[in-house]
Amino acid sequence: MPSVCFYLQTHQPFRLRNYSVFDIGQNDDYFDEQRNREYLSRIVRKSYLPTNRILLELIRQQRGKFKVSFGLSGVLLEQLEKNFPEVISDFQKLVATGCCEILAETYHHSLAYLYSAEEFKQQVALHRQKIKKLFNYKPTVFRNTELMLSNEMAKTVEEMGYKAILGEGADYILGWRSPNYVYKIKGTKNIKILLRNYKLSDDISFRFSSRDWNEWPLTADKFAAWVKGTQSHGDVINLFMDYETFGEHQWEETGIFEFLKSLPGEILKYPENNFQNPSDVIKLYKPKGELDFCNIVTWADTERDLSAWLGNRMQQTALKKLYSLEGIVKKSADKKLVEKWRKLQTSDHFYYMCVKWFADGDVHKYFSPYESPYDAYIIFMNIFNDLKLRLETL
Amino acid sequence: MFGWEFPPFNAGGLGVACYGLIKGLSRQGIEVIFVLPKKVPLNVDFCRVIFADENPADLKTFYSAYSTLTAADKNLNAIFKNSWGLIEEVKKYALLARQIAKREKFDIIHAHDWLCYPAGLMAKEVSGKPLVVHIHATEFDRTGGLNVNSQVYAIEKEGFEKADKIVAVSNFTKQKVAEHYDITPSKISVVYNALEKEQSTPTSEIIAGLSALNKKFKMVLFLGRLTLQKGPDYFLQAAKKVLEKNPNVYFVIAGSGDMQHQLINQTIDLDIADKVIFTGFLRDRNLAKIYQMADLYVMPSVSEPFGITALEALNSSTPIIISKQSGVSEIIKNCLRVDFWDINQMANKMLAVLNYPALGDTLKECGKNEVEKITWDNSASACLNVYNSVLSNS
Repeated sequence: MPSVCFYLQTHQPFRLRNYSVFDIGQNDDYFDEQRNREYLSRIVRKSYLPTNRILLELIRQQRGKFKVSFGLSGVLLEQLEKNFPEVISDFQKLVATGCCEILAETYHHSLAYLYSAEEFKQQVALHRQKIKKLFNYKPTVFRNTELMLSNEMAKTVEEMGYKAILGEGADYILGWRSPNYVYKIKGTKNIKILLRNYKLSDDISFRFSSRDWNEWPLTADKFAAWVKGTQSHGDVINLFMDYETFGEHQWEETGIFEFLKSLPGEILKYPENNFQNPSDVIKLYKPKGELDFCNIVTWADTERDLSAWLGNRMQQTALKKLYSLEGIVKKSADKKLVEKWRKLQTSDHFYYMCVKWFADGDVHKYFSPYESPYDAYIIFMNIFNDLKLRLETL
Repeated sequence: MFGWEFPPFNAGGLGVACYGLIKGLSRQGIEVIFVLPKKVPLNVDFCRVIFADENPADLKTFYSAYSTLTAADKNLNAIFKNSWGLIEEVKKYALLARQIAKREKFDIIHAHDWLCYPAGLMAKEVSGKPLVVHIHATEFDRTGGLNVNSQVYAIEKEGFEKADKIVAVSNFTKQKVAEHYDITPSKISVVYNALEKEQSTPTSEIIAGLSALNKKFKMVLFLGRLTLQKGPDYFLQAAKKVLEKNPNVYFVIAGSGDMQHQLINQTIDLDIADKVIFTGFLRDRNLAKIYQMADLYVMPSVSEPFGITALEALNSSTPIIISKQSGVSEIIKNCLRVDFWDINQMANKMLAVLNYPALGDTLKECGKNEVEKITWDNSASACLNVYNSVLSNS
């Protein structure tokens, strides 16, 4: 009886403005408010508004049989509250149906886990507060930035009280095993892991509109047949992808909305199929075994590791320097400076500094607001130096 | 192939590009007869060199034959009416080229820049073989669009119009030719320049004094002809801004040209005369050494059809900042780019390389890897494709 677990990650960073060395000490306005509003406005129009309406309609049509979960980063929610409250109210309507689950994460969509356990926990708590306030909801399943997962991390998250954690179904971890089961993870007591079926997920998020792909065009009934095909060797198909897949990465013209509208109906045509959210999945299915995530695994690029954020010296230096300010920032108790420091932790800033140009690199370039990874680094470091100067002269 | 200069008897990149291209072609088994206007003591084993002025008998034949004007002669006379020194040389070269073209056997004619276009056209006239004209710099690049010499312009335009195909060193140049000379873009192919990676042992003879300075200070290098086209004045303006933030830097201007006096005065006016060193024109081992010593190479050209020096700097593991108004910026990713007029950004990026070591290190490492792949063999193959397309059409 295969279940489909459909999870959409929703996030937009506070992008930095073109901050020059001559701004240091003169200007504490780091974030490009106008550009961020423009970017978000486009995504709201092309993706969030139409997709949320489709999802709501699907839940009504299927009378609760269609379920979907969300990751909603704090930095996105903050921007939506300020500029696009109608999107917040759509998400509230979705959560009110009872068919949607919201996952826990770091408020700032950060890599804090890698640098500071204390900061990591504080950001998760900030996110909980935000979700409670906006949706009156308490997450029980955790997902770290970019689907980061390791044994150690799972242990920390378990100690924080979460029942399950999402991860990438990377071949080099699974070996001969299938991603379509619930697993335990080495070094923990009870926490479960749900692994992304990257093949079926990427069929939608990456390949959907690719005319070089021999399965193009992808239709909902074809996809449903593939899901059905996994019945004999799996309990749950985890389809995890960026929310922006719908309408932004895959434009409306590709037919992605029509696909989304028909998908639940086609999947549910097979009576043994159903949709489940992560917290249901771990109640329904027992773990098939234990996996060893001895190093951090992510969902990025072909390497499925942290190299997109920490692959070069610029990225390593920027992150290390930023977290070296933790003590002095927190001691300052200056709310504005603390908040700025946290917004600088958003993983996107480091992703933009990636110089793996070829193959995977093209994706990085596409999403970057800067001319080059070097410009991203220069801007970040100029801002870092301003923040440092301000902290030192408090 | 008609050229004007050849290393080590070159004033700039034109000779270097001819050298690399011919070497690349020779490695592909193409027999090149390279014609130069004046005899110089060259020792070259990869092509046959003819000096146009070497056989005075030819010149005599030409003068005695001059009494009966051919159509080509009339045309030449019309163009060269009221000509000045250099243009007289160009005219003489064309007349000598006629004799060479009658005498030698070849399949295709290739002429570099306006100085050689009349020679190429004359050779086409007497042999009936197809002509490829190569454009390394237009009159608009050399003059910055001010005081364009109408005779030079006319020679360029005639070359472009009468050639069977035009080779431009970048899309930047291709666009200039199409716009300013009213040429159909499809007639113009882009063949990028490259770098001949020859071992040159750096010397410390002449610039030994600089080495001592280099231990205490960071060094930023400008290298090129001191002319309007290369933007040395913008370099000095940015230097002033850098020194206001970081006094532990000195600036080296390597090259000679008509702006030298003006530039020296500019350093005095800006009150940075003690921080700027003029080395004069450098070549070979001194050139290799200066690139190596530099912490940063800046090419602030107002209009740079290609810019081989950028590749030379990268090959010496020196980070580069290059003008967006350059051909080389179309093919190099691991660099910093600025608009030549944007002094603040130029200074911002200079300071970033000098102050943030991770940036310089990443630029160095990735830039060196990138330049390794830019070879004259690839450019020669592209050039050969142009030859083949011309020959199959004729």
